[in-house]
Amino acid sequence: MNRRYVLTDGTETVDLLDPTPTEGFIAHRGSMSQGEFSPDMEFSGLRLTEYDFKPVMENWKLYLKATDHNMTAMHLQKLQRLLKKARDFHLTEWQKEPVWIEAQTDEEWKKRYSLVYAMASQEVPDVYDAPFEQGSLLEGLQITIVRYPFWTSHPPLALGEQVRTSVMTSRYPESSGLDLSPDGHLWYVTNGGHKNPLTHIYNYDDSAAAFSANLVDEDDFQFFVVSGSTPANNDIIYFGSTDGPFYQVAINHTQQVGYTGDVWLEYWNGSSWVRLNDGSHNGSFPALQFRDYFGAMLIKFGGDTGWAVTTVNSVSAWWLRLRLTNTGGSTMTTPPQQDNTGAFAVRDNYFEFPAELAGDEDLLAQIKFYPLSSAQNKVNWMMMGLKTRGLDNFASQLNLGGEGNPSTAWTVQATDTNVTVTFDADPSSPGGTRCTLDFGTAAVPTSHGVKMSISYNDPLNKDMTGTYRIFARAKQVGGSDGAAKLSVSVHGYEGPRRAMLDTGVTEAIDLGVHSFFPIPLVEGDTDATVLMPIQVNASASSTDVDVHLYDLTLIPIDEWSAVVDGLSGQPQIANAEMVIFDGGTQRKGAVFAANREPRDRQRSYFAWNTSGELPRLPPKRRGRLYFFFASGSGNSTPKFEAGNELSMAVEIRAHARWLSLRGLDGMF
Amino acid sequence: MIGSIVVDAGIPGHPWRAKFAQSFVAGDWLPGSYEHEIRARGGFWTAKFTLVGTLTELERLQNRILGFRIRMFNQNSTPAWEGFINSCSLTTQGVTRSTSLDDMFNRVNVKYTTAYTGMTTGPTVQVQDGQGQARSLQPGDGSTGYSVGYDDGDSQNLFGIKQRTLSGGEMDSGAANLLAQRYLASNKMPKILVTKQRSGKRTPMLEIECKGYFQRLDWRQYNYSSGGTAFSETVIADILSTVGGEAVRSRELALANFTVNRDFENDRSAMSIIQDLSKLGASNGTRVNCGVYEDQHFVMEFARASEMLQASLWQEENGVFRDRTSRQLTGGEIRPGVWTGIGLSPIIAPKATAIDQNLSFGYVEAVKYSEPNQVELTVSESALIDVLLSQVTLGGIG
Repeated sequence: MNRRYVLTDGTETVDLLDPTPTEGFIAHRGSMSQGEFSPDMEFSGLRLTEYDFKPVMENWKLYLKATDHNMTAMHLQKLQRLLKKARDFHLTEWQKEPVWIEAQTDEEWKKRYSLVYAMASQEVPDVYDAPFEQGSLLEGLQITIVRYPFWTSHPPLALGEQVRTSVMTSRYPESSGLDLSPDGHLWYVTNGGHKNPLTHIYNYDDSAAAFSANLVDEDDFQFFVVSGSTPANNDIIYFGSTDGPFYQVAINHTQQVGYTGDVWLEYWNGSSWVRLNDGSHNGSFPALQFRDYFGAMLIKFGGDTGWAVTTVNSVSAWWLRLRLTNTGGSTMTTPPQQDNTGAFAVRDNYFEFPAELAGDEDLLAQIKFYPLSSAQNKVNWMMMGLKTRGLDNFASQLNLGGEGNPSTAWTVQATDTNVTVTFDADPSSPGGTRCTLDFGTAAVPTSHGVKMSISYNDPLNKDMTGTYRIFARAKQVGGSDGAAKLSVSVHGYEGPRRAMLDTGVTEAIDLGVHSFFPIPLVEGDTDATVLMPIQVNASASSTDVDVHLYDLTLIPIDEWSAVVDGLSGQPQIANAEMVIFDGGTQRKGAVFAANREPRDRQRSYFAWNTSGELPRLPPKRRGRLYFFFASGSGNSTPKFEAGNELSMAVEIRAHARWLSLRGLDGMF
Repeated sequence: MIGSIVVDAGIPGHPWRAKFAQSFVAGDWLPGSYEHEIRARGGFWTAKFTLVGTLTELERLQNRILGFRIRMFNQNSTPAWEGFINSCSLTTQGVTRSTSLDDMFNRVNVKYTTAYTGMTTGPTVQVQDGQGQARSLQPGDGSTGYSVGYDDGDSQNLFGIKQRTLSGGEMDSGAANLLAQRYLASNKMPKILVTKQRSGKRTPMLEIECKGYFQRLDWRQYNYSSGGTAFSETVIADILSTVGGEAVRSRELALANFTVNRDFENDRSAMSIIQDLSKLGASNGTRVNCGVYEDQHFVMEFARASEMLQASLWQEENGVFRDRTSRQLTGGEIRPGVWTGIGLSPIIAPKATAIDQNLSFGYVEAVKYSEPNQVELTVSESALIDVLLSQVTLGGIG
């Protein structure tokens, strides 16, 4: 029998529907109502302007049956101690353990939980009269408690359920996900959006001058091994794509205890293989990667303008490789093992969740960010936004080179003749092409105006409807810091003009908030011709300036959005550290933490800053969380680098919430 | 609605500023206690709200965050307001303990007048000299002097430099120096004020009052004795470079091209000079606004005729504000320095040249926002009138 209604802190429990007839509490028939739910509302005329949930008062009318009066006192005191503990949890800093109600009806599928704040009132019946004096029965004991307005899928502070993405149906190279159950369900997101999956993975045995078969479709394979060979210096694993340039490669490998040598990450620059040292701006693969870490890891590579196609094992492609050396340590003899997942290139900036999330109010979400590698540019600023409607034709990342966009309907156009606007091959630009603004022939100072635009060929892309914060990723080449300015115009309305603060690096430029179709479209508008180019405006104060435009990232802000950052002197995250942004499952706000094994354990060190609301997810709606990352140079000079190498593994857990019964509901 | 509030050390370079940062989310402050004001001339101006929590937690905050940078964000994570914490008042059970930076000064000198010399002796009864009689009534040739300027490094490291020049009257340099030292000693740290009411709630509350970084320019004086003339933006740039470092991290100055006399010798505050210079407007009569906004960015810009705030007063949409693209704005997103129509919805933006003459439109001089959803606009009907007056009365020679 599932029927259950208990007050507990996880250790002590008071059962309010005690099935034992001789001892304990039992509710009066009809007295266990769910309390009165009365939210605060504000109106301005007939317009609802505010709606706030308030705690619920729940009134219990109970019998307490005991073997004698002393046992009655014992039961009552146990109940009171729990209610005091509930109160202390909210009023003091020392009491860290909450008290909650655990409830389930007889045919309800799973338990539900609700945090208790305190006792609001209590009325104890006459203890000098029957039936207490003769039978130790307290009849009509009334207690009113105040509790959280919702029932949740987990007890307060418990680790939430993993939210599993809905687009894991295809092979991993076609998506960006990695299922490491039971360790965790991770999803990778990156600044540089493109469409080029890995097409080839080869091991190379240097002593035998032999290649393995193509491993790209293999879930399990050994690194550096060809036909059972033992790894040795100059053995290599190659990752390649015949489709075009790619960036981060996600791997998932076993640990190589005792190996202290180096593994060099190299790319082909047209004439030779070039090493990316640990800490390089463009990417890295730390020498200690195989030695100290295992599990999900990222080979960080942000691309390079000099990266070139070359032929490996008769395949002409864009290649990256890891090469063993014994520099500074021992030689690897036992190969790392790729573990169950295949290796793939990370290509998107969103996490998609299905329409099966449980609840009738928003779920409390906990988002964990894992960098899974080191790099010179460590992420310390992350923006995220939620979109649950118009997902099919919406594009968050728009490559201004015109290649690699989610749909070929997005086209780019040079729209200014005062500067030279070209679309040039550039492997460091997502999609392999960038837009170059050459101010060399412009009159100086060049007036600020439209230089190029990107538009959707179908004149009405209703999926773009919404409000977004738009970021450009671009690089100023030549001229002094701040010599170039950018802005974007949507529907012809120009947003703020922002100076590019740094030269020679891929910079994130916040181009403000923009709305697409701010006046709601109605059905009859479907056939209307609304051409909606997104125009990129620019100017430069010197003819020395070129601006390399890579992409625009649109982060939705009209459903939910937030920024978490560690720009107040907190450490940046790298390697096995993480940032946890929690909407109330285990804490509220963002913290920097180091993870321990298994991955669901954390050591929190520093609070990160939170801008906006805490994370939540809508129930029963398919949606996506979009991300954008930057590496801020700190308080003194607010410069933000945002290269392709900035990427994260994301894990999302949640507590579902219901106003009344849980039943048999959804993913959880 | 405000989504979160972030307090941190702010401007780097102060050795005491450790890695302290704390974010507050809805529920951490008393519902309805939050309000802020933004001015077209000044930018982020004031804000206040009341934190709730345990007494220990709030005491710890009060002892730490005075002078810290504070940033408010809208629910959609865009910046709403930014400034520094100017005062904190912790109240529990009727007892209020307040700390404030208002009366704190850590760079002090005294301006004084020396004893008078060259006084004229009046005419004798034998000599009837009316002019001599008049001269004898003159006070003589007193001269102005300054004491040594005294600094308190500890206080400056904690809060930044806050300057005050006292008027000492007639005294010698020794007395002036002594006065400056004594004043500094008693005012170098924020004072604690305790008040007791007969009764009060037990719930501890910490009321936090903030000022925008433009007002931080009031902490410093700017003197320039070389004379000459310069464009107003050149003078403002020099002021910011010379004394604005703790208030402003970056700046963008429009080219007003309005020539002004460069004579600043009266220990005026940087804020006061900048306010007067911005009122002069541009040489072509365009209004100019100055303010400090997010990331302590100082902006001097022309009033833009094309910037419209659409305010609907229709009953069906009572209180809805939209920007020029028709996007609905929350209270925390509304900024001054734009034109707005009165009593119309939706408003069609008029031609830029006509907007100042159209009585249906006003210029938003200030926005006061208070939770849960109260917006108060201060609107002037003609934004250019004060520019013209200033150019006449302040003696610009452009």
